[in-house]
Amino acid sequence: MNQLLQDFHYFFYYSLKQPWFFTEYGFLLALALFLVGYAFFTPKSQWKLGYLIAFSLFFYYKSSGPFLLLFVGVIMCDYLLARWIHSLEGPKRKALLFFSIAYGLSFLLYFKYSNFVITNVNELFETRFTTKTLFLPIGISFYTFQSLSYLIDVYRKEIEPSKNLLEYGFYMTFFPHLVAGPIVRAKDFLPQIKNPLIFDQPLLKESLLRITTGLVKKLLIADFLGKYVDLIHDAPSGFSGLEHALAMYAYSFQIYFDFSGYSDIAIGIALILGYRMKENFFNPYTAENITVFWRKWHISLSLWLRDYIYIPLGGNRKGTVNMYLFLFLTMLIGGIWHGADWKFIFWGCAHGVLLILHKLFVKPREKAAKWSTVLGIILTFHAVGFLWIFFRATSFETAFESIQFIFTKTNPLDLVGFCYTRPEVISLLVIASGIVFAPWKMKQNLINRVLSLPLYLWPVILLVALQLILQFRDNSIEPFIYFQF
Amino acid sequence: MWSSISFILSRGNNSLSLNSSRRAILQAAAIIGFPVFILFGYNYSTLTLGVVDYPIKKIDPNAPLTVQAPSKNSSQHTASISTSEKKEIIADLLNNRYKTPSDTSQKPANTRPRMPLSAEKDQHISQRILLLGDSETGGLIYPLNDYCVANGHKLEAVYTWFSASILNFGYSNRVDELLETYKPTFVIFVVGLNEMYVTDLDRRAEAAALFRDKLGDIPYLWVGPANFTTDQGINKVFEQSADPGCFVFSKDLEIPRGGDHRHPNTEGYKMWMDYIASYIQSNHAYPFNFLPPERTNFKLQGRVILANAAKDKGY
Repeated sequence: MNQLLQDFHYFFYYSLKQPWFFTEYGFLLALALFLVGYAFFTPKSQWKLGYLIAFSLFFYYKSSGPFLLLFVGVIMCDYLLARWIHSLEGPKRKALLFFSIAYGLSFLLYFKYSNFVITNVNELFETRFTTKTLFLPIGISFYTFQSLSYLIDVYRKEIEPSKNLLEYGFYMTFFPHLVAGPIVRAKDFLPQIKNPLIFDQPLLKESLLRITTGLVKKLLIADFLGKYVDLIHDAPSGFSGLEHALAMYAYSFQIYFDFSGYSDIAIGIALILGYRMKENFFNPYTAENITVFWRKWHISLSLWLRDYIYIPLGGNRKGTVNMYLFLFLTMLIGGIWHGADWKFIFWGCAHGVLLILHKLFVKPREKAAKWSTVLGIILTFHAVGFLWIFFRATSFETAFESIQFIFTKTNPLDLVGFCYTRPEVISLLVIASGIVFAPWKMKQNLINRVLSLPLYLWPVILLVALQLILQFRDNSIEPFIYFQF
Repeated sequence: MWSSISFILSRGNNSLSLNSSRRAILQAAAIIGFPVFILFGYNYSTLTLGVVDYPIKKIDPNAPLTVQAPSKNSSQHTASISTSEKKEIIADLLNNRYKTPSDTSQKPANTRPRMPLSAEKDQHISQRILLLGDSETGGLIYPLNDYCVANGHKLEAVYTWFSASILNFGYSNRVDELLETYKPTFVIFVVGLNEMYVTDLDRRAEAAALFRDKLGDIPYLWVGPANFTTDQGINKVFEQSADPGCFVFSKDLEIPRGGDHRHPNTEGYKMWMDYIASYIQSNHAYPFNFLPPERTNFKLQGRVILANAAKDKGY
């Protein structure tokens, strides 16, 4: 009983060691209680928005603690700036937009990139500027991009600025997308506030399926594969080439199941609340080339980069050479967005180069032969997988070390021993491959079958899934990979 | 039940779709809340359920599970080391639950003479011991602690640097800081498991020499890695870097391994510790009493410091 009271007390406090994720069982309980209250509000009520914002801010507080104040400050300033931009015309309007963008980016640049810049300046110019211990506010990369898109859309007169702080606050704080996306656009989201609340049994089943599969993807598959990946990358020189190669596959699946699992939970929760968020992944590893891959992977970021970086730079309107240059710059910015490290910059540049090469040498065809599609999928998957090594490795040097091991110290015969010593890793890789590469039709049939199950079975399904997760997890829960970006 | 709730909700609003939406939201709340509520209820209850011999786990990972698990010897260790930072140790121990130690040619501890707890402490010099090294030190902590308590020595501190190599110990100033802080009279250094495949032996030899210099006049035992595969010469580098009688090979030891087939399992660490202790007792340049303890699982002395070279290289 004492333990229960103590835990209840801590429930209302932020803990740096135990920030709230969707995968916290405490969060799921809080969500259920929150939904009971949510059902009592009428759809267009301002009270409903206020209730949702209050819960969202509490969620952010449990995830990021004192950075809640920064977040609230950013929301209020953006709200006022957007209205100010809307009221101006001509050069003043443009100048204010640039100021707003610079102001919006300043927090992101400070928290995420200042130490990186200082370290590199020190190395380059042999200066001795000191770095600071900075804690990156969770979700800052996502909400910064979201607020930038809002300000730019207002400037472009694509949307009217929100006349109500509650509405804008709701758009920014909506907890399903708050800390790790998908990056939602105001023009897609704000109109939904006024829509009637439609949430029926088919939608309920869809949302439950989304939440359950998201939890299983993240906690059963991604976290389990993550343990093996951690083992290899924590001491890369201690492992053989084959183990590095399998770590590459494992990480490719880990990052997909981790992030798409998060997106599934986010979309599922948003559905219950009466809002439809766009899909963030669409079978990305079945892409037959790198261009298609980026249309299927982290779709909300890809579209953001396209609409707010690539097209404003000139897109394909300023000649072929410039198009390639813009493409490269867009991917470079995409790489930098992911993290302040040369490995992310390299990762972005490499994807830019791959996109250019694809556009240079592969001409679009109406219908490709089946074998060439399969070959394309294999090549694209491996190209993306190799570049994930830079994403995961602890440094730029260890990433190259890992790749070197794959090419120089791989003995295929080691696979037999590996299957014997790590059957769980092999099993999970096989299961993950099956899920990722299974034909879409087959997956759709399975989804339809699950959706046809009677509603009274769902508590049991969820209970079994949650208990299975507890049985297989180790003592620590890994945060979602994209929380760090 | 749903009809009564929807009746309450419908007062003042006759919209059919709104009521059905509300009902669906409440159903969602119940469907999500019900299993989580059950799991929390189980978590806070003193009841422990199990399927065959496997306990049904609770939400709190540190909750005591009284159903007998397959492991007989890991609970003692996990009780004291349970934070997420120590997951490598935990992984080893958890793996051991499902592995039975295979036969080995190593002489088991209980066949060797044991030191009675009542032994005169002044028959030997009392040492202040510092254990430092890579992840393998994590498994040696407890058997070493047992030896220290039983023989009247003090395990001052353990520095477990996960994923570390000789480069971390040689090029960083971490060792200097530890020696300054804990002022040990004897150092046990275990490293090399992460360097099985390395071939830049000149660089490693340089780091090993730097490390040796840091120890100065303090007696030490440099313990070579318990190889899980044939190394590329790192053992030779370490042997040549250490003073005569201060290095012991572990590469040919046949000890049971954990689930990762790299690190020894709990039993393997005990056997390895017996081997190390036997070397200190009989073959070391500065021998002292280090007889097998009569009983084990003494309360841990000294401080355990953890670091991870993947995040903190130290240089």
